[in-house]
Amino acid sequence: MKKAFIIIICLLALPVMAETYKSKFGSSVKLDGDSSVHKWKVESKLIGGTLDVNVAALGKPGSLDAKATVFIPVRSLKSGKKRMDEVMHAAMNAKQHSKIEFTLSEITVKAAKGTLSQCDSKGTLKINGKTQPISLPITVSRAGGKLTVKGSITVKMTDYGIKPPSPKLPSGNIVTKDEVKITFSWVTGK
Amino acid sequence: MSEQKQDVNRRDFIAAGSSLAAMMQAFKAQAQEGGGESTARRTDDSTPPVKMGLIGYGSHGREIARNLAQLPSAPLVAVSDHYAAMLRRSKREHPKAKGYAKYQDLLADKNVEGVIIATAPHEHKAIVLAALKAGKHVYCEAPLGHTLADARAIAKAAADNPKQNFQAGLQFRSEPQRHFMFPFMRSGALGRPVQARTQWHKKTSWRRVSPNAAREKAINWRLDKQLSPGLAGEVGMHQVDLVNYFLNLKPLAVSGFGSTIQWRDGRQVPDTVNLVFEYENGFSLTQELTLSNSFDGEYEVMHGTNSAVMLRGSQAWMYKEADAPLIGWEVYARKEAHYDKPGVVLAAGATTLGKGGKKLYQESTFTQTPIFYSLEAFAYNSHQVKTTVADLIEAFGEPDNETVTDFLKEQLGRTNSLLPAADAVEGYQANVIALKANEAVNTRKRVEITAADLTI
Repeated sequence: MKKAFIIIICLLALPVMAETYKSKFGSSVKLDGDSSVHKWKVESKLIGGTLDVNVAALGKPGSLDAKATVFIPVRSLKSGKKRMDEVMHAAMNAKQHSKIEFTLSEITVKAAKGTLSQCDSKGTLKINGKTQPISLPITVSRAGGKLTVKGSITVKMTDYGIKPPSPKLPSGNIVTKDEVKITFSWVTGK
Repeated sequence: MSEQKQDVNRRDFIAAGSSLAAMMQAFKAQAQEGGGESTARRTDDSTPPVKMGLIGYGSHGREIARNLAQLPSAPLVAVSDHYAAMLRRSKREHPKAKGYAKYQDLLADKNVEGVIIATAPHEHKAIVLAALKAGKHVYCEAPLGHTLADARAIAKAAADNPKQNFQAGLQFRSEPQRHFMFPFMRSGALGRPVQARTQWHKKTSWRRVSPNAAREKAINWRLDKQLSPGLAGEVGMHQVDLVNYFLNLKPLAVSGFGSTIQWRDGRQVPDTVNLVFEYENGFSLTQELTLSNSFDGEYEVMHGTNSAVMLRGSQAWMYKEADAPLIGWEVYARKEAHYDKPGVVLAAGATTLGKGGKKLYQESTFTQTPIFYSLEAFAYNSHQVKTTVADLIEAFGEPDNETVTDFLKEQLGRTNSLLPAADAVEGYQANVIALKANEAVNTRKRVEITAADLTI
């Protein structure tokens, strides 16, 4: 009788348990910035990490247990210009701090329609070895056994101890603006 | 990969704003690549090094070692040569590099990350396959193989090992002057391609001497009909590949003949060769190669309905027809009298805009040899492939080969993150065309080059 009770409790608990999703191909991250000469961007197809989330709870408004640890190798961020990549990787101190890391600790579903959930999220962002708390709106979509998390946030380089690069050119120095917009689409699956 | 990322057409070229703007943008990009400073290199002392092993310390191997000594990104840590005298010489000239009598021992050296294979072509296949199996990045001198079967086996092995960088030694593909010309040529500046002509004239015997009879036989493989790809494979291949690359063409057939005129020392390989390559739409390429006379050296010239472009080493000129449409930028470009006609100078880094749009003229800053730039690209690209594969595995676990190939194409190829270099497919195709040309010379017959021949 006691065993049966435990089994029933476990079965009832199953739908609300968090499931672990791992990074899959198809992810992308883009950093957009501006400078005294032109706008610039770097991008990568590499987003690694895991997401623990109660998928069923994504379908209705409210807060839910979620945990994610995400990393992006700094050296994988490419602009299409070798010199710019070198300048940017050096500015981000890629040799000492090889990854951008994001940890997610809280998701609140604001609205859910079909397989798409509009959420607020909280966590921390670590760049250049410096960690800052962040909060950003995200969307989580469910399709084919995969969860895709999309979002964007604008950060200041100086908040992470990065001096905006100022590379030399024949026509003078470029001055890079402090703000950088990070846009990501993170594909995960079991 | 390299061709895909750089492919442009006339519409793209004009859409860049104007032809002048696009051209100046290209010039400017070259200057920015060098950090705005006069530099002969595209990498610097901060570029992460890839440790190199050299297999074959003959004359070409020594040339490679000399170039590596100028490249901090490609330190030479090991040399292999089965001839003891050459190994001793390598020790004398590069004391920091470990010496190996057997290439297998060099491949077993964990300190070696990339290998450069500078042996005779008939020895390439066994070494390339063993090097890839040992997990090394591989630079294989061109031609990849002395037979179609060897070349195909090498290209297949490279495709089966996408986690390692493979580069074919088509040096012109990496040389900045030619690379700079690429979008210009692909933009259709010639008009409709009419014909091309290349020549390589050098009075030299190709015969090597050695006090050791067996050694002398081995090092004179160029003169052995069974082993030698002939002048078409040893020399002409690089020029033919350049024309095909610039104009995005592949020959359909080749005819040729050869004679031994100067060096009648019992050799079976002609010292003078004439070739005609046929293409679609009536385009043709003629090639003169000789070891019997050095007048006028080597050059490539491509003729179109609007202009002709001549390349001579690290210099290039464009000669426009009187009725050719005005492109725009050529009005401002530097001109030199050449062959009694004013030639518009086409040189990487030779023209750029200074402060306030003031025109600056300077000579090209890329003063090193094609082999230097080819090795520089090999080291840099090997590092890119190595780190990208490591990041890929960390993020997603151990992937299959197809995934690695696709991912590298997306992450490195699409973002233009590699220095220009010939890959295995490009090396294979140039190899096939050269061997077909050599066959045409040896048989004095027209030899067809089919799409199946060019497919791995």
